[in-house]
Amino acid sequence: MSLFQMVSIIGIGGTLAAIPVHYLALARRQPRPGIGERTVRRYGLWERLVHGVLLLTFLVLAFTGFYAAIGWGGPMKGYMLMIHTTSGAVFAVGVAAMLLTWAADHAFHAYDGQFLARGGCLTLKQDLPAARFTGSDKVFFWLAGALALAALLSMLLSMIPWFGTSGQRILYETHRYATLVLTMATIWHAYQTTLAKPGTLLALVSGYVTTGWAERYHPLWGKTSGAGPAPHA
Amino acid sequence: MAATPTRHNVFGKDERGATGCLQPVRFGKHGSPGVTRGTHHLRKSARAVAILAAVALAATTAWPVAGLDAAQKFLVPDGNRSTAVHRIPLLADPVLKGDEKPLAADDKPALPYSPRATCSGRCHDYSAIETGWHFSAPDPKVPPGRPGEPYVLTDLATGTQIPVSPRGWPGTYRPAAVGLTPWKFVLAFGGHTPGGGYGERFAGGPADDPQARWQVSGRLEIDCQSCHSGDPLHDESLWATNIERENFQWAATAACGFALVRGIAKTVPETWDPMTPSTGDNPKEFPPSIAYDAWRFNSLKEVFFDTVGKPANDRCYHCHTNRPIGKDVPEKWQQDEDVHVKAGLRCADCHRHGLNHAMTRNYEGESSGSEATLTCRGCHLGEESAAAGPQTMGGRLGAPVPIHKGIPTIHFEKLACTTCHSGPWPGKAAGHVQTSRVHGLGVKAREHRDDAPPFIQWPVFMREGGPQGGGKIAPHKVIWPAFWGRLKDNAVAPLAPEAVQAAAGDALPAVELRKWKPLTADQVTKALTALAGPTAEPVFVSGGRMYRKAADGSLAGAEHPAAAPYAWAIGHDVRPKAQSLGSVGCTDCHALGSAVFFGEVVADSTAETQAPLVKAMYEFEGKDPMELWAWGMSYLFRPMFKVVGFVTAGVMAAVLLAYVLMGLVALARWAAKRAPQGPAA
Repeated sequence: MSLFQMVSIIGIGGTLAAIPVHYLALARRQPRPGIGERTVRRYGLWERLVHGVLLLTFLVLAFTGFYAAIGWGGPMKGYMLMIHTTSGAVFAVGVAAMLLTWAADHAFHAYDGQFLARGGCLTLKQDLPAARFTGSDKVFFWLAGALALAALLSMLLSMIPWFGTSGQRILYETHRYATLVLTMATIWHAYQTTLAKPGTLLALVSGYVTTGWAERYHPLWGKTSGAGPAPHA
Repeated sequence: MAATPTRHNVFGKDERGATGCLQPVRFGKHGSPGVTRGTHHLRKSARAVAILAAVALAATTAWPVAGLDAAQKFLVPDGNRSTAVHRIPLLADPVLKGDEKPLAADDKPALPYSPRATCSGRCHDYSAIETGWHFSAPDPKVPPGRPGEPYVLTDLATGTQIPVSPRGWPGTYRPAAVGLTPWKFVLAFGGHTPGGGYGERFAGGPADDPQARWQVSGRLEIDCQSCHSGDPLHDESLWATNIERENFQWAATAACGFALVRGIAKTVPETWDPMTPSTGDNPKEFPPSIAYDAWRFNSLKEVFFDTVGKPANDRCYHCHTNRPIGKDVPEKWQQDEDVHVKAGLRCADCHRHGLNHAMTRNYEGESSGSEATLTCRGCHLGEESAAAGPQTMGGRLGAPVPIHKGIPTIHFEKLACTTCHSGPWPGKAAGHVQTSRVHGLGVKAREHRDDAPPFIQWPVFMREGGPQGGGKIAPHKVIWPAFWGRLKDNAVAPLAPEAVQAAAGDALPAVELRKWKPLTADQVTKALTALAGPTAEPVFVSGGRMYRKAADGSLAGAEHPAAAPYAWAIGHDVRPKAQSLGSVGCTDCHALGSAVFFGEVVADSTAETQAPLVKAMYEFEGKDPMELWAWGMSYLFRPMFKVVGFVTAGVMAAVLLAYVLMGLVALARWAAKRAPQGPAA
């Protein structure tokens, strides 16, 4: 078994294993404010579209990529590789759209520091300060953007005759490890915004959340400058 | 008058073919029939027996040289890199000559010099050398290694071209299986061997041809000068010609460049004695004779052998030449040699050996010792698996370290170096090539034809170990076997061409090269009918198919494992970097219809019985054509893909950079606020 195979299994497996632990220890014991009439608009059509594209392409990329990496130590070949590269192009466009769409909403503020300092999603504390997006959402946003850029550039540069064999190896390893960390982070993000935060999943489809949900998880949303557009019906 | 003593040949058979005890050939000095000859033979017999007794232990493999201890016998080089000047006496086979005195130019009769006696007498351990790669094909103790170029038994009348190898490579046939005795093998192929093997150590024996004439021709000893001569007069063409004439023991002398050999041992009777001058009374007999250049002998009867330790490439080319043929093939003067040759390397710089002449072939996996650093990878990149030392670092002999810009590393796991760098640039279909050993190139006055068997195709990109073998893809030469055989239990046992022709009679008449035409279906059918027997069904294999007579008497052909092509990897000529696959771009290989994957291989056939069988390269590589087509299609969009990719990467980088800078500004302001403000105004 190669080092990357082992690291991938440990990393992805560890992340998946942490989910039930967090859920049982913390998330399940949180109040669940998602029930009720959804009157607060959280995501517009464009935002949902971008997120949907990212979700789908990420799933395809992760499956095709790690099926080979963990299955036989990689690399991909054949149809898997073609699907992976095609999805990768779409994913790259999606990440660029993501950054352009949400960069402003994910700018850090002082209350984000307080959110993180008080434990963020790893705590039972309530009334943690958060605007449209929490501090941990923002950390994931910028981390995902940077890792996606690293993954994209490492593959693009390998297609151009600039780097020799040792450079190609570095680019390949960069791609692999960047996507591994991105996958682990995305798995945690997916959990945090669904199971750990009841009422969020439907927002990705309908675009609306309940008032209780907004007040519980994003108490500063719309109430402070720079906290994102105010919730509206 | 004393009875003429019964003479035995080297295998103990007398003139009547009766078997006697194993003993060396005896020739009398005055070998004419009669009392004198008989008396002289008795004296010679006694001396020969004495010599034999001294070397009884080595009788099965070694000539009876003077019985000195081998450990004390040979000189050991002192390490000086210059080549010793070989001004040495010529020695004949002592059994032939009767003594170990050096030959002289004016000897009557002049005898051929024996490389074994001359080279091995004091200096070089012949018994160690003869186990080397070039001389040990029939030796079961020598590992066969990777399948290589076979000999091809070709018979125009029967449309036969069957790959033959004593090494038993899969896909080839042992010589005995196709009716090639050691005697016949030497006659057929000895001209493109350096001697030894079937010509000497493995000559004779119960399996040999009862018509063999070793007692006349002598053994075909290893001619050290085949490789080690630096004399421009050394002529391998004469070596080959003399072998055709059955002048085996004269061949080395003929080639050496300082003697003229005339005569044809094939024309003299089995009782002929080389010590007996020819009376010339039979115009049909043309016995071999030698005239040495007297000026080459000094007063001590020494001759200067222009000997080199490392052979010039010309020596190798006699047996290892590729001659591309075909409509669009440039002429010889328009073609370039291997890039290593142009860089100043000799064949022997890479293909090396010690005294045992176990020459390295330099393919990956051949060796794990220091020889592993002589592969493409080993020289250019270094070989970690090899024995420790600076040679494992690569760069041997000044080999440049390849950078392979823009090539994903997966290529080096899936492809051999030769895929991109060796052989001809692939075309829409595999081309044809002739080689020295298969087509007998390099022998003067020998007729050749480009469109007659044997047919060899190249390059055919195949996966080593078979389509599903899991090995690397590499370019190969390929021959589609064509032969007659008997089918039993789905296996085809080949028939010797002469047996086929004898049975087929007028259906397969003898034909000259210039008049050769492919066999017709009618000829094949008639021959199969003639070959029918009670034991096994006769079949004809050709062009990738096995043909048999259907119930209605027509000819039916279908693919069969016995008809599968035999392939051997191409090593040379290596093209320069700018002419390697991938130098133009990825689409050299990854394009719709690219030659590497979609090139056609039309099975060569010596008969026109059916439409030719056509295969695509991907079938030999075990690749899915749809997948290859899709991948090739993706390269149409690759430039756009790169543009979109870089634009989106630019956008992503710009956003990230902008907010990183904003964050840094915010951080700086925060730090400034927390800094001591100084005393209030």
